[in-house]
Amino acid sequence: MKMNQYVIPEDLKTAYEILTEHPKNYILGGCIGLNRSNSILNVGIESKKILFSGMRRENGRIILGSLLNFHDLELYCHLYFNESNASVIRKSVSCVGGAQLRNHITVGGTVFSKFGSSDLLTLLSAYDAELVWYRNGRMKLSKYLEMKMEKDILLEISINEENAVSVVDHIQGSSLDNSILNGAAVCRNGKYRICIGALPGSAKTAVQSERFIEAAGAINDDVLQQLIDIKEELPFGSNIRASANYRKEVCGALISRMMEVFNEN
Amino acid sequence: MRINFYLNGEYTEANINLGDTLLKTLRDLGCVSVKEGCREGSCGACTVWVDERPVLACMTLTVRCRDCRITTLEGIQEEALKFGEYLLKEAAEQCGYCSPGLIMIVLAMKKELKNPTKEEIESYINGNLCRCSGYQSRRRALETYLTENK
Repeated sequence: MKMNQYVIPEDLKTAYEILTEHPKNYILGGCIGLNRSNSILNVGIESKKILFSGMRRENGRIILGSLLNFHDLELYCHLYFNESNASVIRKSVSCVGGAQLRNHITVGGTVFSKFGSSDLLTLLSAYDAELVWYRNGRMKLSKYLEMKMEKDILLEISINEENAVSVVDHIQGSSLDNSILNGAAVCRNGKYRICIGALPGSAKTAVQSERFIEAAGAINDDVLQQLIDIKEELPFGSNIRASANYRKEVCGALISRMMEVFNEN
Repeated sequence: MRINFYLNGEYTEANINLGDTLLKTLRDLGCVSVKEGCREGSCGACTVWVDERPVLACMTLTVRCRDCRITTLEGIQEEALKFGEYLLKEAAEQCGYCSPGLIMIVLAMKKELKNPTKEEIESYINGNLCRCSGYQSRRRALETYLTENK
């Protein structure tokens, strides 16, 4: 990466002003994406003084700082989430490289870049998480994933864990590789929100499967079997890891596998 | 520009360009244990510690490390040699290129995790690739090392 200038703003207002001065001014978070893409930055804006890198509880919600890295999330999520959901959070991030890579990758960077292969992003979609931006304020993650947004600074990701039971899973060609397809589901009071990501794009809701489960009333072996055959109308695409057709064919099996976990529990 | 940080305990000054990675800076300063493997954060050969946390030197901008405590293999030779003996006994090292990074991550894990499970150990060190050994020998070395050095 090349950089013409490096600044350390003391507050968000200054950081935002610098960010919007030039199209090649970027906030420096984990820098994995910027480094890997051999970017040429005009101004690199240090974020350590202005962004939250931890977790906290507020008004019944769990807040993840945009600068929270994956390793801290896996180490400390049990202090904020219940045991079952913490285990799912850990599962969604611990498969990413090794601890040293996870010390770089941030929750904010993953969300901001709409990285479809991220199991965590798909899980946050299933939680119907909210984002807090400096300029655009509060908005649903699902809305952000669908829109083009002008420059802004992502501050926090907020999750409602009340009555939520979650599961995450993926299909990979080999361990440590990016997923061919990933999925997450959150059940609240008997109602399921199922999200599928790595389409290769970012997560979308598996509406047909959700409707089928709701109509079925309960998950049993028959329902699990029929879920396999549902061909979700999602924007599946082809890339080096799999074709769109393959993704469409295995999606039902992935969803069935996730629902089986709910059934077992 | 000039930047100062603590390198293996010594307050050090380096002359850098803004886009320089820690990998380049540390090797320019003579810490050749920090290896360039992939330059994209995938192989773990460049693992160092910044403020006691394992990071990838190829993905870390030096300019962001002002006044940080940076540790390379050169700075922890006694502990490194100790684990190195376990690697030797299991013939877990062939070309040796990945070894510094592996040793750095293992020692970091030993400091950070108490009684890790097999899955936690694998997840911690998964980012350190090895072309030569096939991984089983280093797994055995690691298990023995952790058992005998609780």
